[in-house]
Amino acid sequence: MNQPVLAEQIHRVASTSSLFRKTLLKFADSPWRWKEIFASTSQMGVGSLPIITLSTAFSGLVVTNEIAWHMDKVLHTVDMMPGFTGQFILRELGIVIPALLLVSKVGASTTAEISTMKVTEQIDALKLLGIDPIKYLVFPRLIASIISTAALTIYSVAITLACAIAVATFRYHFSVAEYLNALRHFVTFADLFYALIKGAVFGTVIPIISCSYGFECKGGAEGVGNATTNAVVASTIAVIFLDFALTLLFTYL
Amino acid sequence: MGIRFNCVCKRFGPKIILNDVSFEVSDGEILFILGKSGAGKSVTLKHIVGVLKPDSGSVFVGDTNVSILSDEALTAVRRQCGMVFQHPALLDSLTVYQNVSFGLRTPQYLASLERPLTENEIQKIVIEKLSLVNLGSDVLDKMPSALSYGMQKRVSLARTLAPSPRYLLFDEPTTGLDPITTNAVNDLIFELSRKLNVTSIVVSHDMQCALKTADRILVLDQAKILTIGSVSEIKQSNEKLVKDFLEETLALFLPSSIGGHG
Repeated sequence: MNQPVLAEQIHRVASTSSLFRKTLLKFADSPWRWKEIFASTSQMGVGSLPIITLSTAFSGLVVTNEIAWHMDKVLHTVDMMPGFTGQFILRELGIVIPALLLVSKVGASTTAEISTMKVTEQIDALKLLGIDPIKYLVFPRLIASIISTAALTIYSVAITLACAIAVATFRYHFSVAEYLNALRHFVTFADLFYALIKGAVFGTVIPIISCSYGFECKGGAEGVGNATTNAVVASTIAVIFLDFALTLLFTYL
Repeated sequence: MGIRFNCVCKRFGPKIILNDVSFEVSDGEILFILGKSGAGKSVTLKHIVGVLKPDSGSVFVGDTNVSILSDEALTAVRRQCGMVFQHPALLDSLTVYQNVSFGLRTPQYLASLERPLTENEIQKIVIEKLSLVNLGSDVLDKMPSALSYGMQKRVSLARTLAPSPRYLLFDEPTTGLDPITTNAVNDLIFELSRKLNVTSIVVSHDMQCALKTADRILVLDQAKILTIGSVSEIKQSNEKLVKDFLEETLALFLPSSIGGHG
């Protein structure tokens, strides 16, 4: 990595951290813009339901089939399939897939919107009207994203598990009770709690990175495009890295 | 009082945008800043409201040095300033009425009043400001995207005027406007200055407007002030760039140009 690129990346991390810190301070700054928070939550959460349902359902079907096929081939039994699939879904698949989908859907639209506001001087206009852009634009999106990502995480875990149960039932002749009973030996309520924590963390980083790239946008339409692409790349890397870090943390807790 | 630049320098990366720029604008005065594209005109305006900070030097609005203020501390200064941007800069998600009334609902504006405005009073102000820029109440419920560029610019101007700022900063206010509205905007700048003692700084390429409306004209070139003076002083300037601007303006009124089609 050459020096200017490295310097730019350091600047990005610093400006994103600074935006995160400033946004956290807005928690104490009342009144909250509840109307906008509800509207954003609805847009992010309800608006993402179709794509999350479709993607997580198919990923549940594929992964369950794959795990069962490999178990059958190597161990000549699929008895442990419910436990393995359940654990994998609750700890990884049901959490990371919705987060990555939200990066491309919600994160990209957030950066595009903020970038356009930046290049058309709407952000400057807000400042001049005495409105803090962080409180007006970032804070409602952060709250909405945390709520909707955590809720969508639980929802996608449920959908993925339902599809895994469907495969186990129709293809491998488990009963639902057998599947759930086997699942209980592998997963605990702590796993569900960790899933919620991961969802909330991803829900925090996605809007912060997206808004940060939007505020830093320069130039016209090309700048908006670049900012959006870079924000999606950075958010994806952040989600993958944080997933790794949190998984390590929860494994040793 | 007024606005004062003291030896302001600003660079973006290796490019010098403002180099040791100093000037003063008195209360109620209209200063036009002319110059070629990229001469640093818009950057100069953005320093006044603290959107940009100088690398060195200072900018005073009244008695306040805005170049050292934090964003929070700048709020009080910004309350006194209205800025019309190069782009209309209307908030896309709000209607024309919500955009124009936006500044009348901010905590800073409300704090400056003895009592909060009623919705009827806000509506009256909004309609009055829209009429100043030749817009009727039929646009109130429209979204910015439903308006032409020129209409958006006029709404933007009405939004700036709504909270009755003491200092008005115009970044190419008449670009994209028809000649009638351009004249109306120039007359408005003149009236606000003379009747309400509003201080105006207008960034423009339009020498004709400047000659008609300005008290003084400042010409920026290559990051420095090339010349500053009254309209009559500028007309007599020997600087090539100033002469070029004047000749371009005069060319518009030469018979050969007018009769060019026939």
